[in-house]
Amino acid sequence: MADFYPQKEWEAAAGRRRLLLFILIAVTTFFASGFMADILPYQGRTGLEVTLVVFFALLFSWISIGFWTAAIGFIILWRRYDRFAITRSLQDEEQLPVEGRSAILIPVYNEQPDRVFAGVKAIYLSLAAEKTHEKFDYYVLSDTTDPDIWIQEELAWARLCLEVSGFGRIFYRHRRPNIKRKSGNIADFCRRWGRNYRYMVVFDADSMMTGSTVARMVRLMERNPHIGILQTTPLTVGKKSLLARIQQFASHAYGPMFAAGLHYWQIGDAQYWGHNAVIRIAPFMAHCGLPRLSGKPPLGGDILSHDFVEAALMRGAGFEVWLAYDLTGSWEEPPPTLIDELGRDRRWCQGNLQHMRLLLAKRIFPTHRVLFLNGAMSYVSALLWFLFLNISSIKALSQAVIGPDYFPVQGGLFPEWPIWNLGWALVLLTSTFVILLLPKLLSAILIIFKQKRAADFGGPVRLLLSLGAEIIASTLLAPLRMLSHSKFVFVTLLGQNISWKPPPREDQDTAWDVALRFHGWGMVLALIWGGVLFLVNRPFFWWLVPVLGPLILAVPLSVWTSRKSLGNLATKLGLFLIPEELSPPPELLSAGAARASLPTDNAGFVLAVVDPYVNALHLAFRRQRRKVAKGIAESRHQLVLKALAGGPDGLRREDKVTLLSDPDSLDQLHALVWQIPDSQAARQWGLDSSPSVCPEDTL
Amino acid sequence: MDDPDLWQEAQDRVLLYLKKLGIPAIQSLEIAREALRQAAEEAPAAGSPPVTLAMRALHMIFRHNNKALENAPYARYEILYRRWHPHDQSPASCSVAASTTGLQLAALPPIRRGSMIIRKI
Repeated sequence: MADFYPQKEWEAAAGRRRLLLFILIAVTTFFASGFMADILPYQGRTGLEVTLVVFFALLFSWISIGFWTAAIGFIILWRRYDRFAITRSLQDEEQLPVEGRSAILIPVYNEQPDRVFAGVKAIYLSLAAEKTHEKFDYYVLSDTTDPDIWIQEELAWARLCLEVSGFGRIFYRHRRPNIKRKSGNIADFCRRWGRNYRYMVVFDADSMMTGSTVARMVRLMERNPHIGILQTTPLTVGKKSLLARIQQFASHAYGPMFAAGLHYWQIGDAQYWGHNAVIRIAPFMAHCGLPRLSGKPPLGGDILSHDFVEAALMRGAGFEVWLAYDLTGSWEEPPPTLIDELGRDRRWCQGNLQHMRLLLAKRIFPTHRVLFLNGAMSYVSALLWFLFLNISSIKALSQAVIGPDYFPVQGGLFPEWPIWNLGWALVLLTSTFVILLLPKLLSAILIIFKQKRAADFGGPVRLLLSLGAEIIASTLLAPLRMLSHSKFVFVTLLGQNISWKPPPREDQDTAWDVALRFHGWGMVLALIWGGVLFLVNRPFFWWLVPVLGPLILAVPLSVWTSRKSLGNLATKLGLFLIPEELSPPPELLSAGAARASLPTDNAGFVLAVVDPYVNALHLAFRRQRRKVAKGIAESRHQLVLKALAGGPDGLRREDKVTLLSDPDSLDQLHALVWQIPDSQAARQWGLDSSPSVCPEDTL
Repeated sequence: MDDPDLWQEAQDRVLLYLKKLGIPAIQSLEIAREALRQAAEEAPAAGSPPVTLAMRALHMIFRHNNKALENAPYARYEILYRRWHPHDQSPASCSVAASTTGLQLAALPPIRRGSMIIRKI
């Protein structure tokens, strides 16, 4: 079957559209930079002022991309017509038969098993309502290193399979060596079972899609054989902290418009965001294997932000990457606190900076090279902004301390009086704010007047109040993000590598001491910076108050935005409401209910040793028992004796993992623990004969 | 070894194990009685504490007598049965597959190996 959009046709359109984008950015940046130069005392003719204008031009062009993307997205959604929307290819073929089988992949790493399997159950039940549900298998791909969580995952899998009769359809694989992290996890699946399937639908531990959306995505792939990756635009849901609610509102209010605009420029050269997407397995296996970059981390070694690179490689192999921006029923959870968000940004920053090594790589289309640059600029722009503010401050201080230079240009014959054009500065500042804020207003206009969905946000008044509150919040938080992102870029370029930790999934208030440790240095910097300016150049100090003020208040801002209580208060006041809260979709309700009903397990390792069922279940997961060298057998035997002597608390994490990985040792330990005659030693393993301490049924 | 407290402890331990298996009370008492009887026979020669002997006897009962597990809740029965009878090739209703070298849970489909090519970029 031929693709609905022939490649030459959309590539030609994309070329014209990108040229338009370039012209729009270039023209607005040119005029704004000219304005900036005219504001400066010497109209941009000194070395320092040239530097300022260059930084300003880079920053303004960066925010212009967002503005023009939003503007075009507004036009598309207002007109309700997009010539190249990939969903149009199914208009007359909604019941297109699906021949290929699909694997639903949920890669996990030390996540909470109850949440993960609640999500799997919700997806399973949602897909069960689709005609094509027999074509789907489900894989929970675990890279978990925590021995307790590992056992809890196995139990949760067994429970789920029993509950939904999912044996033979829902699979669980635990991988012990965590080679190449998530991309290696997916690659391992591809190498072992990829050939059994035509497509894989990749989820994150906290993401969700409806069965109908998944089924539709697979149909779109069947209809368009040249699509290698089809990405949805997940909306954020599920968290209750104030910051999360603000982000969820922003995602729902502005996200669709930005996504439509993004699609307008990208068409079949879109990005892959690592989850809530469907991938054609055969070309993925043939072309998207990720090499290790030469050198050491942070800029060498394994490619961290693998999704961008996989999309680029897929496209380079001639397969298209599309964004199905108008497909609903796709969600993910936001980070609950500012510190969690910045922790995630630290990882993404390193990953995106690594992509700079691939700018001149072979087999990458120019569009994806630009996307790599765009990804890096997401964080480098913060550093540029920070440097811009610093250079401006230095200029202001030098003017105040040293006094004006009447011969700023070398070789000048006549003196020049420096003139600050304050009025123009205000105009430029206002224009910059318009560029930043107009898209938000446009999305409100779209929701209220065209889409008539203001009720989804609590009504037009609440929508506008939420918009205003979101603008205030993002203005206050922008300097904090700027400072942190600048630090991330700086330390990454200096060679500091990240330590990979799974993000927290539950709402948890940020403690004051934690916030102080994280933001304290920024507060001190802002106090010194502001103090010096206040004393030396007070007019310039007032210009910087919108930046310095939030930095000085970083700790309380971070703590208060993390609070669930403030998030709930906002909801009571009718702020930041989203459609999924007012009218929850069955899949999200089902995932929440399943999560609530799952028992909270005891420590998994102790269960695996003590509980005969859990022990037998875990042993059943092991491969056939192998003969090992005498030395290894002896060291494992010593480990069993150590466990018997010291109880579970006497074992290190690696000891527990070794025992769990060796069926003979675990079998032996199980039998010997139950044979412990000393009641105190037996109690270390939870073996108390009195019924009141007998743990709950594990199944 | 004749200390009644030690034998009480052995009985409690065995019953606790049977409770964890989910075997109903009457059947548990019957199995426990048999395990303790065997342990008591072995006690004079073995020299091990009653708890140790009783638990060993219990494991032997499961290994040699599949009827002892029949009253475990269905969900567990299959897994546990295969644990003590790894060579039994009869079909499993919960995707538990036996191999000659031990129990293998069919948590995964058979592997169909492919290669994922890594090229320099």
